[in-house]
Amino acid sequence: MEDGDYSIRRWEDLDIDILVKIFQLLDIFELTAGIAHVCSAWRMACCDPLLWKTLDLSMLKSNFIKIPLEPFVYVDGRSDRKLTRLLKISLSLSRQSIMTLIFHFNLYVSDEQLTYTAERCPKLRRLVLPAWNRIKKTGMCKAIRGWKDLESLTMPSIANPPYLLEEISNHCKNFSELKIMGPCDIYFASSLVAFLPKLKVLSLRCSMLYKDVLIEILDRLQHLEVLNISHCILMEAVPPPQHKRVVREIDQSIRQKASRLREFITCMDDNCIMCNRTRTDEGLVRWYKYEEGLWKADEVRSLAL
Amino acid sequence: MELLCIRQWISGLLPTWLSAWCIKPVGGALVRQEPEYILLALMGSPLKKIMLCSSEKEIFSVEEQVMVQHSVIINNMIEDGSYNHEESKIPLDCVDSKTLKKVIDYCTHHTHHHNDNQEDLEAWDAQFLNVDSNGLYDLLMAANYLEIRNLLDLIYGTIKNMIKGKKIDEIRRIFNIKDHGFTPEEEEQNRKEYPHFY
Repeated sequence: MEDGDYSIRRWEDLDIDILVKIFQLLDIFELTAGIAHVCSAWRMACCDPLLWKTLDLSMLKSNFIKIPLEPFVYVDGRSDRKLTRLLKISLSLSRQSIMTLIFHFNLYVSDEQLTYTAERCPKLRRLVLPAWNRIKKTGMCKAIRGWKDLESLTMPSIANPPYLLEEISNHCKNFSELKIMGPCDIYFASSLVAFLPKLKVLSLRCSMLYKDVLIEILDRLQHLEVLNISHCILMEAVPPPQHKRVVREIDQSIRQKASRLREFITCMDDNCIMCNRTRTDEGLVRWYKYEEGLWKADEVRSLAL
Repeated sequence: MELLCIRQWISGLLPTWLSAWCIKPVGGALVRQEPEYILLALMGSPLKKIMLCSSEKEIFSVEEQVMVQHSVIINNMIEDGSYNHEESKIPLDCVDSKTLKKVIDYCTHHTHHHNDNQEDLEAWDAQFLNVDSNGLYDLLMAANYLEIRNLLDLIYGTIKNMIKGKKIDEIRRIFNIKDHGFTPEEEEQNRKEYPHFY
């Protein structure tokens, strides 16, 4: 009655669209745990571009300790090998279709891992960088050179060397969107003006920002359309003995300069949780202290994760 | 009076604002429903039946509203007028009687119990899908053919749960995949490189 027609239910011949819909429900660990080795049809479905438009590895953090010597962080071998394995399978299945790549800022990716990854995502448009203590300048430059279609970058707060921006300006002609998770000083602002004059979207939220830096950005980035300085501690330099003081509200001259922007997003509210946290953490938010995933938020829709 | 004539007569009488709140579920999604049909349903026979014919030529009579709410294919057939209530039956040559009965069961339950609380519905769904892999396959094919969105999503979720966390040999056993399609060399290479997946 039931067992009669065993041979006609061929799960290996399921319509590929159905298989892809099912595999879309799996997370990255489940998807790379051998599904592609069950049979050749399932392997083909696992390689479907629909599954690989975004590779989200933001749930991975390194098992690491801080050390006094360069690169100042030591990553446990097992943690490193786990990442390498995951990258190897994901990048192989993705067949170069990845357009968005998301890392956690506490994932200490090695130079080799970054190079390996960059070579296999030539169509990358959006990158959320991991911690880059272990990545050498040569590795980073080589990676950027391969990402000709890069449009959007989110950087963690570790360091903001200008060479990165220069490399982007030389090789990524469509680059238009930048988010920095940390302070933006006058040198960085000058680098932005020098190397990314056509920048359209900039998010500097939850950090310390000097008024003169803000003015520099508003004056000199002529193509800017969206600027997000929500929850920032706005400071200005004053004569000694104070040297600096907190600016309590955004004055008319700044509002005037910002009026040409499509979106000027601000939040300076004593009752705001994020404003208070930025203040407590003195301008460099310790995201690990707060809710999981809080760092992913952004008032700019295209930058929120 | 012919269905089409009634429709035209009614649409002439209705104000356009009425269209705005005539919404009904179709295939598990919400779709705007022509007000004429709503009125007909209110006026006449909400329990109007349609005939479905399985691949084994068995006829199943089911409430039109039930199937129209769940199956996009059947809904389209009824709406474009290709189904004549007096004479026709809808032939479903790729669905056998056993599976068709289950599909009708699902649609009927979800129409009549759509106000039940979420837990009860989920429990019923779980019991409904407590079938062997052959039965699941047949239901998947039928739901796909008839375009029953919520049943499809339910089956996808069930299959996903059957796959996740399992080793490859076990997955092949559960889904009766005897011919994996890899060359012996490929299979051996995969087993050597990723032994923990098998």
